[in-house]
Order: sequence, then C-alpha cells, then structure tokens
Amino acid sequence: MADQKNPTGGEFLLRETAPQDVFTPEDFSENQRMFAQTVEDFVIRTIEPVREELEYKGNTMLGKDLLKKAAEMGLLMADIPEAYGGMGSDKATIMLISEKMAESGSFAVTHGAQSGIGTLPIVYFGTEEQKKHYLPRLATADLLTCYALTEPGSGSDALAAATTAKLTDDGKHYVLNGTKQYISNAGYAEMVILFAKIDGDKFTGFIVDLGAEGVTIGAEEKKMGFKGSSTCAITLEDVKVPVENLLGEVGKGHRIAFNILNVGRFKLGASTVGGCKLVLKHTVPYTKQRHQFGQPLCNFGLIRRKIAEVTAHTFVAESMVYRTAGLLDDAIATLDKSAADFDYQSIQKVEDFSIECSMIKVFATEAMALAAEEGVQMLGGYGYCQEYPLERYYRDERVNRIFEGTNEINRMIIPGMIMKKAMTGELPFLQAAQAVAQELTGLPSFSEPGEPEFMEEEGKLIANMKKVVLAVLGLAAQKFGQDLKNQQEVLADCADIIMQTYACESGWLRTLKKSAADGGDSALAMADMLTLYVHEAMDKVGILARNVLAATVEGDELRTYVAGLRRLAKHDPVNRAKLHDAIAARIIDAECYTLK
Amino acid sequence: MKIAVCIKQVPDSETRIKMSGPTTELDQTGFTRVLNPYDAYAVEEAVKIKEAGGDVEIVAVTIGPETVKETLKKDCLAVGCDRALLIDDPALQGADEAAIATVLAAVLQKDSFDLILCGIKSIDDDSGQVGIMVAEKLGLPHVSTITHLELGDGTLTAHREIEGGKEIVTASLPALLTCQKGLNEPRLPSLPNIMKANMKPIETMTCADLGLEVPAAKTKIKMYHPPAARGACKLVENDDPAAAARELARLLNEEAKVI
Repeated sequence: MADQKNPTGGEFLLRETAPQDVFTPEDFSENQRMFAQTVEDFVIRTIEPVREELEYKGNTMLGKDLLKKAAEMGLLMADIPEAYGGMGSDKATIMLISEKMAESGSFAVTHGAQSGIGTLPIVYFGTEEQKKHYLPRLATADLLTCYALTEPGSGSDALAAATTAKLTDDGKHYVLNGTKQYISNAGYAEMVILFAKIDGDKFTGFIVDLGAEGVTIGAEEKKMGFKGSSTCAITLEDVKVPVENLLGEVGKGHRIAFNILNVGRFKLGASTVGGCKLVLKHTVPYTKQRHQFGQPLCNFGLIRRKIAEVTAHTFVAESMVYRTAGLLDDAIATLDKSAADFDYQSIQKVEDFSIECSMIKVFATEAMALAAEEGVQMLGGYGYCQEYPLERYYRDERVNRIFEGTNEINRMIIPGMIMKKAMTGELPFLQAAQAVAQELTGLPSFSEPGEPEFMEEEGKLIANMKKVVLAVLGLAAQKFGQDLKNQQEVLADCADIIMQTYACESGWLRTLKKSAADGGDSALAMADMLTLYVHEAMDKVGILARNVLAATVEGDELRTYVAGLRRLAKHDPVNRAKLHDAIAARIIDAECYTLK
Repeated sequence: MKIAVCIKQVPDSETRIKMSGPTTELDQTGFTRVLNPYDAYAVEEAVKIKEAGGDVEIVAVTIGPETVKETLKKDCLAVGCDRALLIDDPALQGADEAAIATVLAAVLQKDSFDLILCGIKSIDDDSGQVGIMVAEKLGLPHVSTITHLELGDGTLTAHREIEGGKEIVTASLPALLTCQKGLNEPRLPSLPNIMKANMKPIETMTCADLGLEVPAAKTKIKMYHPPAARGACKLVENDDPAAAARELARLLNEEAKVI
C-alpha cells in the first residue's frame, strides 16, 4: 500500500485516501491471526486460573511468574529486533497482541511494562552494547524491567522532574537522587529505565540496576483498578550508576520519554479496543438470558441501543487503530532495514504520526469508558457485583484515560502538532484553510442531488468534516496567533473535531474496502454502524465547531462563519432506532462483537 | 524413530450449530475449526518423545480440505512436528470411518513408522473407530485410551483407563496407540515457533497420488435432527400449595405426558 509519496502524520485531513491504501483488520495475515489465537489461548490457560488471586486478592507478585510464562510463549519478543533475540514484528502485529492481551486484565499492564516501556527505550535509543547486553534477557524474562518517568511533583509536565544525576570526579559514575512514583512492575523488576537531570538541568535517560545500593522500593499502591499489577514508588539515594548505563544522549531524555509515550498510546488504543469487545462478550449473553416483563432484556429498545452504540464505537475505534498501524508500518517500510540505525529511524517515523497515536489513545480509551459504563448498566445489579467482570472493567478502565499522557494532554497534542507541521510547511494546512474559509464565507453553491451510491452520503459528510477542521482551526490560528497554545478549550474542541473526522473516515474507508473486496452485502454490518456513527459525529462536530467559532470571532463575522458551517454540517437525520435495532440484532445473535 | 500422528480438524466445541429442521447436511459456514482436542494429546506425546532425545521425526497426517493446513501449521508443525501430509481429495467428502481408515492406512504404509499416535475419538463424529481400524488394516498391535506411555527398546508400556482402575499393557513396536485426556498437557505454539512452522513442509496429495481407488463409504448419514426446542416455562401460581401441586401433577400428566 506504499503508493503515496511518504505519507505523513495529519495528512489525512488534507487529502483523499483510497480505500485500498488503508490497513484493516480484514487484512491480517495467517501468522497474525495465529498469534492472536495464541494470546487468547495463553490468557485462558495461564491467566484465568489465577484471576481471583490476581484481580480480587491483589497478589501483585504473581506478575513475575506470569511474565516468565508469557516469555515461553514468545509474548515478550514482538518488539525486540531479531538480532537481539526478538521477532522484530510489525506494528500491526504488536497492536493485535496488545488487543488480545486485554483479556488478561492486570497482567496486560504488567506485560506492557516489561515488553513495551521497559524494553523499547533500549531498542530505540540504546547503544549496540546495551542492546546486546539487555534485550535477549528481556525477551526471555530472565531480566525484569520497568520504566520510571513520573515523580510526585511531575506527571504531565514530565520534564519538570526533580531527580538529579551528578557525574563523579573520576568520571566513571553518575550519582542519582530522587523519587519516581506509580512505577508498574517495580515490586519485582530488577532494572529500570529512569530519567534524571544531569547537573539539575539536562534531562537524561539511564538504565539503573534496582539491586544497587541506595535504591528503595516503596509499598504497593492501593489502586482503584488493575489490582493485580504491581505499582510502587522507587527512591534513589546516592545511587551510583556506571556511565555506560546512560541511555541516548545527555540532555536528550525527552526524546526517549515522548517517543516511548507515543508507542504506549497506539498500544493502549489497541488494548482498549480489545476491552470494548470483552464488554460485549460478557454482557450480551446476559441480556439474552435475563427476562423481565416476560421477555429477554435484549428485546428492549433501550438495551439494543446500548449494544449498538458500544458496537459502533468499537468498530470505529478498531478501524482507526489498525489504519494507524498500517500508516506506521508503511512509513517504517520505506526505511533500509539493514541500516545500523534502523530502529532509531523507525521510532522517528512513529513520532511523525504522533497526531494519529494521540487520537487513537483518546478515542479508544473513551470508547472503552462508554462500553464499561453501558456494560455495567446492562447488567444492572449484577454489573455492580464482582461475580461478573464488568465491575472490574469499570474500575480498570478509568486509568486508561489518565496514563500514557492524560486525554487532556493528548487533546492538546492533536491540534498542536498539526499547527507545528503547518508552520514548518510540512503540512500545507494554512493554504487549504484559506481556501475553505473563502468557500465558507462566500455564496453557497447548489448541486443537483442524485441517487446516492453506497456510503456516498457518509463520504460527503466526512469531506465536510475535514473542511470544518480547516475552517475552525485555521481561523483560530489566524485570530489567536502565538496565543493559540493557551486557548485550551478551543484546542480541545478542535482536537475532538479532528478525532471524529479520523474516526469516521477510518470506518468509512474500511467499509468501502470490504465491500470492494467481497461485495456490498458483505459490508452491510459495517455500513449500518458507519451510517449511525457518522451522522452522530456530524452533529457533535457542528456543536463543537460553533463553540470554537464563538470563542474566536464575534458579530457579523461570527454569523457569516456560522452560516457557512451550517451548510457544511447539514445532513438529514437517519432513523437511529432502526439502525440500533439492526446493529444489535447481529451482536445478539453472535453473542459477541462481529462484523457479519 | 519415526512417529506418525493422525489428526483431524473439527469444529470448535463452542460452535453453535444452527438447524431449522431435520437435514442431511449441516450448514458449516461460520464454524471455527480447531485441532480435535484428543489429537492434541497425540501430538504432545510425540513431541515429548522427540524432546527426550534420539533421532526422532514426527509426521502429522490428516485428511481434509485445504483449510486444514491452518491446523496443521499452528497445532502440529508449530508445536514440534517436523512435516505434514494432507490428503485433500474432494471425492472423500462424506467418507465414513472405514473409508478414512483405508486412506490413512494407505498413506502410513508408504513409510515405515515405528509408532502411530491418534486421539481416542474426534469430538464431532464421536465414533472412536478410525485409529483402531487403521491398526487392523496395517496389522499392528494397538492400545487404546492410553493415559501414560513409556518406550523401551522395540517395546512400549502403556497405561489405559478401565472401569475403576487402570490396565498396564505392553506391546512391541511398531504399534498404534489412541490417546486419552490425562496422558499429558498439550503445549500452545509460541509466536516464534509459529513463524518457524512457515518453513516446514506440508505435502498435499489425492487418493490417486497414493495409487488408491477412493474407498466407498460403508455407512451414510441419513439425517441430522435438531433437539426439540425448549418450550416456555410455565409457572403454576396458586397460594394454596396443595392446589398448586394438584395442578402441577395434572399438567405433567395431561400436557407434558411425563407422569
């Protein structure tokens, strides 16, 4: 699918994408499907027997043994290059593993800390010696790792860290002092990727041996959810770290920290899509068995609406997640795999798509929040009790919107990165915005409506959403100039419009690709969900855009823009009850998420 | 040592079979297909023998359509079998146990296997005949329902389950064994082994390739009947327990006709 000349992050807003150019879950290879099955089987066989102990008794130390078992299955190898004992898998595979790992509950966090954030800094930023020394043992879980960025005084503002590093007089060691907190796997990890400021100002990454003198591991945090995942503070008092353990470059720790967060975001997007599917799996059968007023719950319109809404959000989120996987893999495929700095270059490709990574993080975690919320509601009193897993999903889900960058921080990143790319000329955003502004404030043109083709109406709405983005973000940039970065509400509303656009387009392209491959009938389920979703999204986009406009301009100018916006956002309402009914019927029949 | 493992791809045990009435053929669209769970014990036992040392080759043998290759790859080659033979012959559709056993015997005869392992039965047809028939056709000793196996020099000792106890059986090699739950704990394929399985050969052949005339089935499935639909639950409501019991007895007698 690498037809476009080097697609770049955020570019979807400025051009049309062909359905055959997007990666979709329908494109998974046999190997990928087998990997997915293996992860599912691993969860049933290895996690299920210890579920009670892990999730409800909070035995966090089980994670250590479970990591060894996961390593035997090769589940810690995907992110590690082949040369260092890994599999060097593509991002689509890595995301599929994350999705399937969701069912392992707390262990998904444990697994992510070891195989993701605890390992990737070395993959992407380590020296040859560091890679050889650590990666093979991390793949086999002979060495357990973790990742320490957050501190008591610095969370979202990670660069404000207070942990310090000072080079010893002999130049052989750095002496580290400070406290890191909320560190996953700290209860048993043997090493940590940790950030400290050299001489109090140069933010830098280090590989620290947790067995070193001066390291203290705090007590397990009493968390709301993911109770089986170890989370402790790490305190460093005059800890001597050999200079060879400096990771990356002095003063360039932010490069490591922000890039690792990006990877964490796309994986979390995938894993929360897995979570959404689990909600359906554990609620829909109940709605069929439970009878009230002489009928099963699933016969009631309001229950069917919930099932349909959760399913449509799951479908759209899944489409965005794997479309992004395809974008990342295509971009990485343009690199020379034999180059010595291939891994470093590939993380830069990921960085180029930080807009997409932030969007799928926010969208999918919020889809999961909706799913957990409605899942509990569908189960009624049982949803509130631990007998069913919904109670746990409801608690566990909450942190998804806090870690890997809060959803607020991620919302700032989305328009922020677009403006950054616009300013450097990497995205011809401002030119496109100007053209749309003229269209919006000019006289309306009228076209003859004909009989719409498959998904044509939705395609038009999506094209209009893009124009809305260009119009409102372009106007905000023009009016606020440098001060735009301080207009958080405007930025967040723009982020939501952009995200809805990406969501709708990803689902739309996937539906078109499916129907082109297997005929229109094969994509009917997708089409129902997309129709429902796009119309709902357009209503949201209309309101968000009005708010941005009202916060940006006033008087006649505002009225002119609002009139233009009304033209763009105009759409006939769809019969939502009918769509809900059709979407829910398929899920109720299959008793799980399905696209058939 | 050469070990053959005869396997079958079957619908997942959680498959929901949709039937609106009696039918001669099941609608199999949407079935998830997996390795017959009893065959997984056979595969695992062969792999354990290989791991115990010595020069051991394991060949997975099966009959079925092209789609069986997924099962051969993931559940046989990726867990330790060395290669696979697939007899893919449309003429075998509707073959019964005797016909399947004839074909398997013909394939197995082409090579000299020291040990042939099968599951005790497949969870779809549930007949438990194929392994034993193959042994008979090949003139080999067989031990069924084994839960433990030890190999000696040209001999084997197997434990088999019998009512209320176990039987310890010895036999000479070559032999055919059918494997029962409890024999071992089948492993899952690891991700790197799934990748490695891509390199292992699956040889596909037809009955003609074997120089075999397609054996005619001796039996034929005449009809599948769905279980009777469960009627709605009827609640006998009466504040007087004695009257409620009388009404219940009447309903059981006159309507349900069970007493």
